[in-house]
Amino acid sequence: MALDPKKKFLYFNKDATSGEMDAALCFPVSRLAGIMIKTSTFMDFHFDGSKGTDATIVRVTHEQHAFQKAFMIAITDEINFGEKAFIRVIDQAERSTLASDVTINMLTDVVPTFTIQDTNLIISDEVSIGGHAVNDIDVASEFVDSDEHLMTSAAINDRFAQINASTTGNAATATALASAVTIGGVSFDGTSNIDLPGVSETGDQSTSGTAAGLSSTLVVGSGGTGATTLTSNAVLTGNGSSAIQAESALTYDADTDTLQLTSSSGGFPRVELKSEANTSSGQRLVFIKDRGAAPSDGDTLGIIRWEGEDSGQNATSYAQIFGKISDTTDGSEGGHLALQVASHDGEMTVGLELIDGDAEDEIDVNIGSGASSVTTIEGTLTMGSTAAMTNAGLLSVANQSNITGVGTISSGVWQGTAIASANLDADTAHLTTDQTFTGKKQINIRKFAVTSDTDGNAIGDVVYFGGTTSMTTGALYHYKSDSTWELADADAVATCDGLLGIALGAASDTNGVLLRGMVTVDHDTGAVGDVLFVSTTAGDITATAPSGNTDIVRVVGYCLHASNGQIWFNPDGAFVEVTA
Amino acid sequence: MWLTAWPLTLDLLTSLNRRYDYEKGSFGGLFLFRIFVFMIKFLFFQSDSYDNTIYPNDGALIPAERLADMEVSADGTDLTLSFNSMLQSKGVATEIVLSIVEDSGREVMAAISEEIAFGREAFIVIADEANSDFIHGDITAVETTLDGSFA
Repeated sequence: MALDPKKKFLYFNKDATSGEMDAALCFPVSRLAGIMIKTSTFMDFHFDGSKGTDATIVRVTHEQHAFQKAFMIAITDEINFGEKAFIRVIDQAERSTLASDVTINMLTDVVPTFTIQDTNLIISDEVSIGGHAVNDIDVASEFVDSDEHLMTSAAINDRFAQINASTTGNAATATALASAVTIGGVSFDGTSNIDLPGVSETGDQSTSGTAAGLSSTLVVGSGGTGATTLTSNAVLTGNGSSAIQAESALTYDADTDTLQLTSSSGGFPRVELKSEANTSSGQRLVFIKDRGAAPSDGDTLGIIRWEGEDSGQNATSYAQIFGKISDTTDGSEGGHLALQVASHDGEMTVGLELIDGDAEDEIDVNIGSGASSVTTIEGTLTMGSTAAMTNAGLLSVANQSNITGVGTISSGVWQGTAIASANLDADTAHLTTDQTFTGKKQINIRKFAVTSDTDGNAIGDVVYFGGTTSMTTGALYHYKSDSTWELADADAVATCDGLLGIALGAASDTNGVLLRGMVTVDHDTGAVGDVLFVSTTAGDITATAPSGNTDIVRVVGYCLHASNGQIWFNPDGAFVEVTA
Repeated sequence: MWLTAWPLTLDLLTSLNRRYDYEKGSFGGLFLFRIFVFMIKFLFFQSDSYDNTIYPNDGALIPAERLADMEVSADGTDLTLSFNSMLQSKGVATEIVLSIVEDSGREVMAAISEEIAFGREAFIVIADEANSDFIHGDITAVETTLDGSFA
């Protein structure tokens, strides 16, 4: 009996357990939409679904790759000419006994898969509504600017966020922005007015970008520079309503903090400080130093320097003026101003400086540098209000006091009033060297003090002749007929008559011989007040008068000290020869 | 009269089918009864790609009754066979494009139509590139990739 092929059914069972058929599917052949071969192994059976919008795909695996076409023919024949209304395309549960009713069997090791297509209505072409074609619906994050696209609510919401809710007209209920924004540096959320610095209140406007309508440069009259470019580091100067000028000869380098004015013309550049104020006060060039902390003594407050080149065209500093702090103490502040020049080796040396003194209103001044420096004063040197020295080097007439030293006055005429006797009486130190006074001198009183205990120390009349050396200091000598000195001896007239003296050193012509006065001899002579005689011991003086036959008794002085040898020496011209 | 006798020889069924007057719903006076032939014809397509260079790859078997239209391209070198969507999508068709000799579309479409209408085989090979078997000699290739990515 022939069967209507469309009333046959195709059966698929993916349950692998024998006797079970969980989730098995069966389709009328009339719902078969087609069979697709995929990679020679898989075959997808497509069936129309029951809802008109769905479909089911059953994927089976064929065991013989080379016979896919043969399988197609076989299933076609089975559908059209087979005797079974219920065709088991694949029955996984019965794979060991009857896997398929189709002549070419399925691969029984691979379980078929069922894919139930979404029941949603799928429209892949345009839909025309009221004459307007719609071909797509944009979902979240999608937006196509087209009259043929509709948008979901999520897409609309995302689109609003994407374009920052750019709308026209007035928001009906909005009172505040979800997130505040900053306008000209001022936060604004829409709940209140804002005041912009430089617009509605004092302050600077914060702007960026290019002002509307400004294509290139803004004219001076509108607050611009009027120039398209300005030289780097150049200082700007005005030029009426014309563009601001960048002065290439006047530059400021922020990297080195240097302001420089250059010129190739002689006598230029120059800096002028011109005051047109009708006052007695003048202009000022001020150097200010602020360390931000307490300053220190010696801090430099400013320098004015003259620089040039040497013969080798090496940069050289030749002169400068600097101001410094001498003393920072609060209430005792003192300054230090100095002028320096290069001193013969390029080294800057101070030649004139004014330094704070150690008392109020006192300034110390130093001139020159080194002992060989020369200071020249063209006019008269005035000390205080009194001229002190002319430009010819002559001291002026003012009384000089307390001259502590004048060195050697090699020429000229000394002229002045008599030296006060008080100054001479007190001065025992400045007439110690040999002096020769000629003419008549009257000394009313000659003062003789007791000499010291040093042998030969003497005050009195001293002669420097005799040409005798190797004399004993403090010994008594007799002047012989051969014009030399010998030790005096009371043993004979020949050695103690005539001129007697005390040797004041080893050489008579150099150290002298005392003829009369106070002296210290080199031996003890007796008790204080004793009359002293020439001793029979050569060179000695004794308080014991010689008593031997032919001895000479001659008084020579008086003892002033019993143990130090000080005597008053004044030999008597007469003597007595003892006859015993 | 409903003819339900089966099997009839294919030659007889084909002969009967060719003489059927569809407007009158009868066979041109030779028969006094109506005959319904219960045959579902399938159209077969296969590309010339191969798995492991051995097995023909990718093919399709579609009931002829789902063929909706055939259309020759503007330049006359392609013939598109459109079928009702396998996924039941609306506004889109399952399409298979064949390369044909230019201006041979009419002859190719006629050959397909006649085979569907009068052919004796239920399994109709339209284009089998792998075996160089085409229903008409002016079909040169299957352009569509038959990998199942149909709408």
